Amino acid sequence: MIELTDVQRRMLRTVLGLGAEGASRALSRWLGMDVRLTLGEVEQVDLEAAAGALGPPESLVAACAMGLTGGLGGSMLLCFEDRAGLALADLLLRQPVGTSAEWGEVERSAAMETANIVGCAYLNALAAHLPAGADSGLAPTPPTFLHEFAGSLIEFAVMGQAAELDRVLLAGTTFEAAGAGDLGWTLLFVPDAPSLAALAAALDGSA
Amino acid sequence: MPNDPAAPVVPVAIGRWAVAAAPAQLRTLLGSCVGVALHDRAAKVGGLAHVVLPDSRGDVAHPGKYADTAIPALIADIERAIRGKAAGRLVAKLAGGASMFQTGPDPPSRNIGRMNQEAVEAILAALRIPILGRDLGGEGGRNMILDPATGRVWIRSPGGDGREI
Amino acid sequence: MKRLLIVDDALFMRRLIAGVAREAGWDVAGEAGDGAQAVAMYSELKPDLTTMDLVMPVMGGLEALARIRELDPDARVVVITAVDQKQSVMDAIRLGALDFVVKPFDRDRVASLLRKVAGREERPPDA
Repeated sequence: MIELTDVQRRMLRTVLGLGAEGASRALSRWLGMDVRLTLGEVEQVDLEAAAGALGPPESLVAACAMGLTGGLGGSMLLCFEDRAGLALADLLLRQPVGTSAEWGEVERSAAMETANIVGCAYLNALAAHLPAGADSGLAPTPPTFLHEFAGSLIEFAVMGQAAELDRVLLAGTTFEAAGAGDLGWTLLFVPDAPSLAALAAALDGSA
Repeated sequence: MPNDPAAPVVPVAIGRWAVAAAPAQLRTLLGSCVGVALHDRAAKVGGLAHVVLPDSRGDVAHPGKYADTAIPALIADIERAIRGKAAGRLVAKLAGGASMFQTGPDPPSRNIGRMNQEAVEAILAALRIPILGRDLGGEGGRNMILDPATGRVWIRSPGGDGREI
Repeated sequence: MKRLLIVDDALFMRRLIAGVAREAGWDVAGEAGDGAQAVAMYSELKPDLTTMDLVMPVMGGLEALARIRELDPDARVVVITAVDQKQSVMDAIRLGALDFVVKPFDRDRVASLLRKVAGREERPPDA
């Protein structure tokens, strides 16, 4: 598979959109406030364009990185600049935003569990829309917390596609809170090449 | 770190290469890809390639992506810049080739970093271009800067520490 | 007082569950961060109930659940996970889980579950 067909792209976008809705509900419950996830463009872009998906490649981001298991390969990354990530920890710890000044064990754990919940919500939606048997319990792997250059992080994530494809697909989701605007977090869903092909085939019924 | 913060910086994107003369500097952000810095000391000209994969297998559409096509293309552009042949004039420094943080049983990029490194080293050896410095492997990204005025290459890690190779 | 073993790789989630448990009158006997630790601690502590996450390093929750139930066929384990898929629910119940709670959970859901398990204990056995 070199390029997704139009139908496949729209189906993938639709299902990931359902994932974003499910994740919105889960995250709103998790944070105790209304949060909406918005799925961006779902399309194949050249490597250079992909590298800028999290902003200037040399900027530093914090990320909770998860792999995919249960029939799919690739990764999901919940990314944010430190300040926005620590704000997430504050929300979960039910303390004023700005209280957490650095990434201690609890702050990291709060961010990672959020990544787990959001990642699972997406995969739950995918699983619900794949033909029975196409998955065997889609789940993320336990998250890893890291700081990385935005460009390097994306480079690692797209390698699973870059070996076989000239144009790569990353589905990015942004987060908005009612009254607070953009929270400054991004969730990237980056399947590897075989999984992208399998998803495309499963979703358009050609599997 | 880099001598002159005011020097113009030419960014090199993934799968691309660029050539610049002093005082400009060249910069690229690396993961599992390998950054190949070539320097012509006499001309104060440098080139930086951001190699994604080891072998083009005949793909001609994306020369910068593969070690076997990117390095010759980079050298050709250096020769244009110096208006002469590069043979015997160039030295190399390499960085990158890292593996991704472990997120699964066998992440593909764990091998790609190593394969890129081996391909680049083999090609440079065949071209008789000596490799004067390396910062390869590991698990983190790298911010790589080449200064064509001096041939110096600095590497910065996400944790902030920088080193020269 | 009823004793609980909490199994989850996230410190933050373990604290959350511990809070609900204490409010419901349970004692947190131990906490484990992965499935292997869970099995080891189960043998050591013999808790009245275990909460089990599924996605964990070293050993996942389904395997830990299976091993605990093998060690102790009367082991009471409740799965608490963000994975909400038919396959996972079926696997967990088939392996002997008492219940399957989806994260993010309602505190009341978990609290009433704990009370029910505690209550069940105190009923005299059927004649």
